[in-house]
Amino acid sequence: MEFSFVQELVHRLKTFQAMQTDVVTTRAEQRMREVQALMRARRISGVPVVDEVGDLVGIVTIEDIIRALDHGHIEEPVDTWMTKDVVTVRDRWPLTESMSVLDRTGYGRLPVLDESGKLVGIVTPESILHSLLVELNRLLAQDEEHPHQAVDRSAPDGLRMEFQVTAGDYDSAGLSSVRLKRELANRGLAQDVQRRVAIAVYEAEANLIIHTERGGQILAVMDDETIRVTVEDDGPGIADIDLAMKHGWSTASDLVRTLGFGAGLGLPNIRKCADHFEIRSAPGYGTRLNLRFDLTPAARGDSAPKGPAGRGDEAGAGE
Amino acid sequence: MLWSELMAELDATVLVPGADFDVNAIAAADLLSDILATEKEDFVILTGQTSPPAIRTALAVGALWVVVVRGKTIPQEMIDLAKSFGIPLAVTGKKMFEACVSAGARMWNSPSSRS
Ligand SMILES: Nc1ncnc2c1ncn2[C@@H]1O[C@H](COP(=O)(O)OP(=O)(O)OP(=O)(O)O)[C@@H](O)[C@H]1O
Ligand SMILES: [Mg+2]
Repeated sequence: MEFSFVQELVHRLKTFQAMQTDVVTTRAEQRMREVQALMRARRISGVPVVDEVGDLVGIVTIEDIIRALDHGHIEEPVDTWMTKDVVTVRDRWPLTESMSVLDRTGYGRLPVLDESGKLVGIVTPESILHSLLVELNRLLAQDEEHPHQAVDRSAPDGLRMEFQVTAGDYDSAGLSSVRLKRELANRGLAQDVQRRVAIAVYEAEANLIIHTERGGQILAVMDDETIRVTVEDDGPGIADIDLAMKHGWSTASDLVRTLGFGAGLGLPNIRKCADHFEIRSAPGYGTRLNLRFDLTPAARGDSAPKGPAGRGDEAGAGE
Repeated sequence: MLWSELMAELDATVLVPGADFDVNAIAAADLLSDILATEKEDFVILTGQTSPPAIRTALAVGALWVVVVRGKTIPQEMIDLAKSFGIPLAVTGKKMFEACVSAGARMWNSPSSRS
């Protein structure tokens, strides 16, 4: 059971999520002696060699250093001693694929290239383990059930809904939001929580439609105490998060604005609506929002009979 | 001001009818995020948007009515969606600014007009 859970975890991760990005590199014209010093100083056992535009041209490993030392050639340039046909993996590959390459080759590290062949990181058994622990922690913090489970049966009023959002499908904006709100209304949650969740999910959904390359997913999980919403996409990511969080800052095009989006209010409003807000983004890779809404007794609609039915309650038909 | 009075004031056509009620607040905006960011409760939306997302916006924030300005032709899809969600929908020939002015003049609390 535990084992399959970890397997499931590995399957969900992409290589870029498990790579180390602050890669120490060297150039072909460096001396082997300098690389040796670098490796000792940084406690690393392999250094990718890149050219002036960042393309990978080789790798120097401990074995290469030893070979050069053996022959008394440690003062020679990297070019003559580096390994030139480097085994690499791609940033968007499933992590499982990169792990099997590590396994097959027996190498301790693999350079990671992006779509254009640029070196963007390096995966090692340690970086993979680290990413698994981070992901595991996140899931534990979220109290999530097994990912296969469609509905959280542990809580009588539990709810788990997952939405796929398509990039560029402007007319679909709000679909996930109203579906989720209807479920919350059915469970008798207070209007205030319904509204805050619906607004936050609407804005997150709109961002997936407007700003991403391939859309993304929204996952909402409710138990007795909280509603947790995770929003995830795989690119293009946000370069400056502080700027993106600014009231009124938007990169939306004029066309998108005529369709009603791009006031630059979405992210700040999501933060305002949620009781806990976390945004993480890596340019070139994607963005993730973790939102939490606390269900106080009043929010659960426990304390008093519900007020007049809002629109959410009537959302019986249609979508 | 009663909803029916506002409709008369705006010379509006009702596409999806609803019950009459007292209008206390209006959110006027073409950008949906403006509407989603409003703090108002039980308000009427004035917008130039004629798409399903505008109806879903109303649903998300719990708005009471949606009025489309500038006499736009409203796609059947939007009308159907409003019907299925029980969101009353109307259209006025007035521009956003004019609609806000006429509505505001009749209401003791002036409308918010961010657009
Ligand atoms: N998932 C995302 N991927 C990439 N960039 C994003 C993403 N979400 C937001 N951004 C960037 O952050 C900016 C601010 O986002 P925010 O949601 O606050 O405003 P907006 O989407 O531009 O306009 P509005 O939400 O008011 O319609 C966006 O213009 C965009 O540049
Ligand atoms: Mg947005």
